[in-house]
Amino acid sequence: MEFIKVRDSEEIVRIKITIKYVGPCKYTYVISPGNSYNYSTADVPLKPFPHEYNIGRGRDIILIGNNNNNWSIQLMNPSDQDLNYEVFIEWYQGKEKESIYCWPKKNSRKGIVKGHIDHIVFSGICIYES
Amino acid sequence: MNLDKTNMKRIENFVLLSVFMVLFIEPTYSQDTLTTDDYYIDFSVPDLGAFTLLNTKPDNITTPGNTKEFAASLLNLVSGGSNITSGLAIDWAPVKTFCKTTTLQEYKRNHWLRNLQITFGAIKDSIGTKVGAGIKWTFIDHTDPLLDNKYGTNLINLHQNTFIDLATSKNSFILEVLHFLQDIQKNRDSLKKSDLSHNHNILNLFDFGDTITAKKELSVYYTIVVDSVNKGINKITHATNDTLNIEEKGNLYHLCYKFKSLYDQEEQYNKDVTADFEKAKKRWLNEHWNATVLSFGAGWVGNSKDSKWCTLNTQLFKTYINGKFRVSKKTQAIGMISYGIPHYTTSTDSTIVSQIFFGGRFLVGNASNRFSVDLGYNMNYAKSSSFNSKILVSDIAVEFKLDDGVFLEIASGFEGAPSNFIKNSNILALGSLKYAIHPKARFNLPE
Repeated sequence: MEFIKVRDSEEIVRIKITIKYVGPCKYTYVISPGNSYNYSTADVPLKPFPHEYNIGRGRDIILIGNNNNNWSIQLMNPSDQDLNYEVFIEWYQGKEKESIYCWPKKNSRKGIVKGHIDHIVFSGICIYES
Repeated sequence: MNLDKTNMKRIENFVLLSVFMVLFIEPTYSQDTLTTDDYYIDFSVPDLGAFTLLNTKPDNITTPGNTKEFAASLLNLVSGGSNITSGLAIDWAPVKTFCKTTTLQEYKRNHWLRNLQITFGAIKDSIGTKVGAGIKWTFIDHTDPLLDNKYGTNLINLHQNTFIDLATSKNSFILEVLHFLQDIQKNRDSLKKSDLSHNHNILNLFDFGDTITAKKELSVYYTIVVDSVNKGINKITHATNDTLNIEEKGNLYHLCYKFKSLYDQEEQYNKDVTADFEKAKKRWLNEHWNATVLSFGAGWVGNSKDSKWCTLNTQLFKTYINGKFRVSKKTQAIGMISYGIPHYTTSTDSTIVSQIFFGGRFLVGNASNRFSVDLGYNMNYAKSSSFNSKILVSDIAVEFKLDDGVFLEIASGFEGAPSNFIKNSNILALGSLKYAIHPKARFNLPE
């Protein structure tokens, strides 16, 4: 569970999703049960990373009902060899895009999807608080 | 002829040194660099470019294959009579080593450059040592799973609805937890200033990533959560007797049950994807063992009768194009055309000035075992056309996969002038054990 401190202000909170991986991959980032951002390498045309999304104003997203987001990222390895990856999400707030949080921790962003494992799912939940 | 074993060893050692240099370079660049290791599709031991240049039998008609960042092959060939040929060849794709790809788009854009290989090899037999060096470019490769959009899309679509539904359900669930904690606060006036819905200790118990907690029995998990919520209430109210009431406990039990259920659904999703992924992968391998691959190669061949570097003479410049094509699910056709220009210091009317070879192979089988029939036609053009010669070669062969990267090939055939091929041709009897040294086992050289 990630607890993200945001400023209780009009400033917009944005996220930037980065996936560096050559195999098929997909993610869903859920803002609310009826509002999510989805992507997969099956999309045409392919949208280059990083992907930037608007989450909402700081003062709105700290209210219960808006203050929880979650995501799932799946990396698939169709080959028999290990494929390296780098995955992370950054949160920004304000016009200057000041970085306020990053998931996961720096030493967990890179890794390998082994050929015999086939796929890895990363999931996370965040709660916004002031 | 007596071979100077020491000098032969020198050439072998040079090849081995090259192998280890490549092995040394690769890990140095992979540290702290996002790397895409090449992937090994075990369709067969790759027919390395150097062996094609050196015209090793039974590989007159060589099969192009999936490009590896680094591949090496040892050849132990037993041919008719007492001839024993042994050889070693390496293929190296430098762009794969030095230009690491991080995205599928980049991989798709640059794959043609990544499939350019440098090839080097040496073989020795009873008449000396031949060394070959050149380049090989695989310009069409349909055996690359990463470039197969349809396959990638099929994998992405595996249980796609469950993937989305699970994420949405988790969002609804966390919202329910937050509302539950807010309701506890509303029921207790004393908690107005503090917010139970931001108690990290409680919220962390609903983290699906905490597998130690999530794997506990429901009753044990529920007890832990109740205890944590009660502690949260006590901390704020400073009243140890202020705990969850029966209705709240009932709601909390429902939440704990839902959490466990979602966690189990996620586990099941992973199992289902793994099982279906495995099936899709097997199906893809069976469907693509004979997919189209086209490659082009060019290089130099030298020979030394006494296996010494100083006596290594240019023998031939050669260029070739080969391709394999799917005929049906269990059959494959391979074609090859090569053009060679022999090199001589002195020439006579009988000196061969150019060689053209074309041939085809028809295979029946699968990714592990196959039977093949070859037919090749070799035309040697001499300085004086009266010395031109034509040779027809025909082989039948079986190839068995013994282990990952180890194939045994047994071949037999005929070689002779086309006009008198049936009555008067030489019998070729060949058996070879081919090893591929690839990233999975690159440090386990066969002894």
